[in-house]
Amino acid sequence: MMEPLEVFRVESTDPEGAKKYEEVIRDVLTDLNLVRAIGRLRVYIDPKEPVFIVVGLFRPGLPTITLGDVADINSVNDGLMISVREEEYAATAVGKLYLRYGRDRIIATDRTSIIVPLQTDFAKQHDEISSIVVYDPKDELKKSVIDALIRIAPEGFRVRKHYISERLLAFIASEDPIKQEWTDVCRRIRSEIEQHEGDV
Amino acid sequence: MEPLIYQGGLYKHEQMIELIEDLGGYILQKNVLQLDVIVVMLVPNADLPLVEAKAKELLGKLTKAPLAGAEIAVVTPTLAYQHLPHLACDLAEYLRRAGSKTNMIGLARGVGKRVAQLKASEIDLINEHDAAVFTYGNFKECIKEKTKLFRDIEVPIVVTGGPTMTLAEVPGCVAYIGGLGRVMHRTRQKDELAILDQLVEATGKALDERRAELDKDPLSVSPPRVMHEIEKQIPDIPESLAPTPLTLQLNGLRIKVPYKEYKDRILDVKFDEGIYMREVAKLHPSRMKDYIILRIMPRSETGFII
Repeated sequence: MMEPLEVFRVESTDPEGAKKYEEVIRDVLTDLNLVRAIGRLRVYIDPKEPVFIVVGLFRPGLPTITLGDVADINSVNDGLMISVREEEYAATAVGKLYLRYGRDRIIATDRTSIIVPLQTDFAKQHDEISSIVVYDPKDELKKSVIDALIRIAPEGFRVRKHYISERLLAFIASEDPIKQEWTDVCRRIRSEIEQHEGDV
Repeated sequence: MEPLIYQGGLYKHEQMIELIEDLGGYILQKNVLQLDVIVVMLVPNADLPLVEAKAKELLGKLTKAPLAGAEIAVVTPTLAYQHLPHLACDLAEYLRRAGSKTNMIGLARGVGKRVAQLKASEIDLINEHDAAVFTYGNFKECIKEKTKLFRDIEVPIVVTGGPTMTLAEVPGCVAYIGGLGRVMHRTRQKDELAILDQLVEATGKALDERRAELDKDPLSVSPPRVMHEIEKQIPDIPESLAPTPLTLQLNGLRIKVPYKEYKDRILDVKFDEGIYMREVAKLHPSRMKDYIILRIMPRSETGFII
C-alpha cells in the first residue's frame, strides 16, 4: 500500500528554486484535497530551457459506487423495480438505465424509482443492474488533477502536453514548442517512478 | 512633519481631527470601519506630545507611518490564481499598514520568461506612481531575464522573489527582497512577516531617496497643502465614490474625478497668498480610468515657494 506522497521530489538545475517550488506544489495539492490521491510525484524543472515536467502515480484503490450500493432491486409484476435510496445518485442511475434499456421500455414511477422489463433470468439481471457504476471518483480526480497541474505550472508556459491514465499522469509545459529531449526526460522519470513501485 | 496612523474608536475622534487641523497638520486619509476609525495624518514635529496626549485621552493608538503620502504600485505578472491572491494581497496590505496607498496592477503579458513584456500603457500607469513593487518567481534565471521589463520605468523598483540574490544580479531595481517568490498560502509565519518588514523598510528607503532628490529643487507648494485646498474649495471632489478621491503622491496628487469636467475648476483653486493652482501645478489625464494626475512644479520653474 502506498502512503500519501511517499515519494515527492523536485529536481532542478536551480536547487533553491526547486525547494520553493516544492512548497508551491504542497500548497496546491492540499488546497485541492489531492494529497491522499497521489502516491508518488516527481517534478523536473529547468528554468534555462525553460521547461516544467511532472510525473505522478495515483494511489490505487479508490472505490467506485455501483447501483447495488445505493439502490434496492425487487421483483414486481411488470419487471424489476429499482428504487435509489441515495438521492444524489438517482439522476445518474436513471440515465444509465435509459441507455441500457431504451427510454420507451422503462416505467418511471417517481423521481427515484423506475421499473425495467424482466429479460430472462432474474438473478442474472439483478447482478447486472447492481454492477452499474453510478459514481467513479476517478472522473472527479482527473478533473482536479488537471486543475492542480495548471495551477502548479508557471502561468507563462502555455505550450502543454499531457497524458493521464488510471494510474499515471505526465505533464510537460513550456513557453516554446515541446522538444524531443523533454519528452525523453519525461519518459526517464516515468520509468524511474515505476521502477520504484516494483521495489516496494 | 511626522506621518502617523491613528487607530481608535469612532466616538469623539473628531476631537483628534480638529486638533490636527488646529496644529496645521493634514489629514491624508480617513477610513471609518463600523465603530473604528483609522486616520493617516501628518503632524508637525513640535506638536507631537500634544497629539500623543490626545490619543491617550481617547484611548486610541498612534503608530508611525513611514510610507504615508506615497502611492505604490504592486505589480504582478497577471491577475490569475498563479499569482493572486496570497502574496500580492499580503504585500499590498503590508505596505498599506505602513501608511501608503497601494494599487495592484496585473500585467497583460507579464508571464513567462522569454515571452514576458510590458505594454506602453502599463509603463505609463506604473510611472504615475511613486514606487513599484514587482513580484517575481522562484528561479534566478527567470528573475534575471525579467529585469528587461524595468527598462522604461522611471520610478524606483523593489523586486521580490524566491532565491537569495545580490542587487547586482537584478539590474534596474533599487532593492531585491528574497525569500518570497511564488507563495500559494497566506504569509503569516514569523519569518515571512520579517521579510515583509524588510520590504517596507526597503520601499521606505527608496521613497526617502526620491524625497531627497526632490528636495534639491523643492516643490513650489507641498502636496498635502494642495490636497487640503482642493478639498476645501471643490467640496464635491471628496464626495466622489472612488476610494481615496484625493491620493497623495510625493510630487503631486492623483485626483479621482473626470479630467475634462474638473480640469478648469482645479486649475482655478486659489491659495491664501493669492496664487492660483495653474501657476504652481500642471494637470495630466491619468492612465487610470479618466482620472487626473496633478504634478506640482518645482521652484526652478515657478521661481517661488509658498
